[in-house]
Amino acid sequence: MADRYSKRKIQSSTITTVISLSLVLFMLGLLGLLVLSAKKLSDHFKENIGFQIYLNDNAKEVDINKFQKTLDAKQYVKSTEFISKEKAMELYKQDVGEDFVQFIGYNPLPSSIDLRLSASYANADSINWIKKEIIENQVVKEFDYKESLVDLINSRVNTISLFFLLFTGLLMIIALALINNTIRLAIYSKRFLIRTMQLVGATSGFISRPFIFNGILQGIYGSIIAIGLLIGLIYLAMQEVPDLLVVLDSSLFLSLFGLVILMGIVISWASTSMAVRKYLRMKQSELYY
Amino acid sequence: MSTDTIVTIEKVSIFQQKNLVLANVNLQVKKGELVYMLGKTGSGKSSLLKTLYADLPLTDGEITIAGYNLRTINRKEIPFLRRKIGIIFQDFQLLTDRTVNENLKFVLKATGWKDKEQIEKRISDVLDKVGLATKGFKMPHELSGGEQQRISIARALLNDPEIILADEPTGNLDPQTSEEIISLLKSISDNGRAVIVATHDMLLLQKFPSRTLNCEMGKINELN
Repeated sequence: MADRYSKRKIQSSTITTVISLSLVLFMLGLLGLLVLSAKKLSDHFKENIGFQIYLNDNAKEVDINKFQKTLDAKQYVKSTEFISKEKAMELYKQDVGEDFVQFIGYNPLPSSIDLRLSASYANADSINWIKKEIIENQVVKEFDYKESLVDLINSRVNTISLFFLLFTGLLMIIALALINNTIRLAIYSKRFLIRTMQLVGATSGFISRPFIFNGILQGIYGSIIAIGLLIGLIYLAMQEVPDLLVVLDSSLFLSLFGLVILMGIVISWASTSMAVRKYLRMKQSELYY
Repeated sequence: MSTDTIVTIEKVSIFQQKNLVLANVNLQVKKGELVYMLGKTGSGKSSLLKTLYADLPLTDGEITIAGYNLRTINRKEIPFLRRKIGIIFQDFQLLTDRTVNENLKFVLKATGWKDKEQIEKRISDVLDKVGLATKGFKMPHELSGGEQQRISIARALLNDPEIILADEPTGNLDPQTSEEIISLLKSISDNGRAVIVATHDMLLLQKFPSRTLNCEMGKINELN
């Protein structure tokens, strides 16, 4: 019965550690989710900035096709769409509601390629050299985009990224300190056992092994609970915002869950090792403080 | 040094923090000897024992114990020295989170025992020796002080040590139980092991007379 009592005590301290670990890992997972969403969202914005490449009227169709294919093969290109003179006219008519060809007798709008850049190239520096590269082609008449929009998006994204970076850094420190403290407290309660183990001739490795094994196991349990909570939260969020899956794909979720498990293991392993090592090196008189 | 000598102490000074408590200690202990160390609290007897099992560093003099030179011993060798020494404490220092059997099994596994049957046989042998063959399933807190100290002695005997160091082994026990414990230690020394007992219980010395050292005024003197 006393055996059961003792086991219950050990189980309850393990449960407390696992719950603390899972809550902190949940917080980290949530943060990861926010960072990923923010990154995806900023990419989404950047990849939807329109760049127009106006083509020369006398450019041959074969040259235009060749040029478009060359563009599609470029790393910085997300997508291209050829817009013929006629289509440009139609789009203009839809926008303005007037058919000015009737007045002037011809279609003055050039054919163009609507270009979308990959997010990492949608910044002023990259756009400058991309513009230079594109404009060198003989079929190109003009390269046009809304410079102020690019600057605005980039400056907003930079501000938000900086805020996220600081927030993530701060939460990471808090999370590490909390997990470290929880594990250290658990090991602290066993400091006299560790000392007794030393006195009966156990090596440091032999003493540490079960503590580290348990620490890693607790890290795994904690991260599984944290992932469960994250899945629950994502499910609830998707009920409210069904488009969430457009921004975040399932491979990102899996990477995030993998990261939570990895962090659970690494943090608990490192904290347990450090705490046990500390008590292994402590003198008896220091154990009472 | 005779082959029977298990501990040699030469010109040793013992410190508690930075205070000198014993100076110029010279001593030899042979196999089969039961040696009492008398002295008031703070006289340095526990510190000397701690130095012998390498819990306190040796700063002055030379000590050889169970083939280890404590002056040159490194941190990694200490567990192996302790396997040759059985240590008994006033407060028993059992692993309170596991049963008696598991306490003993831990020591055997920690000291390299692998065979399950041999482990069980050894545990049953030592428990039998201390008269607690039927208590293996109990948790330490379910046992009396005397029983816990017997388990502590059983644990010290597990690896058939060459010497047993007992630091106030009867300090927490009633007179009757104290006698039983000293009697047990005496029988262990009669079987060829050296036993050093730090105590301040003069009555026990009268009942089980043996070589006695007195720690007083920073020195160790032989009393008989």
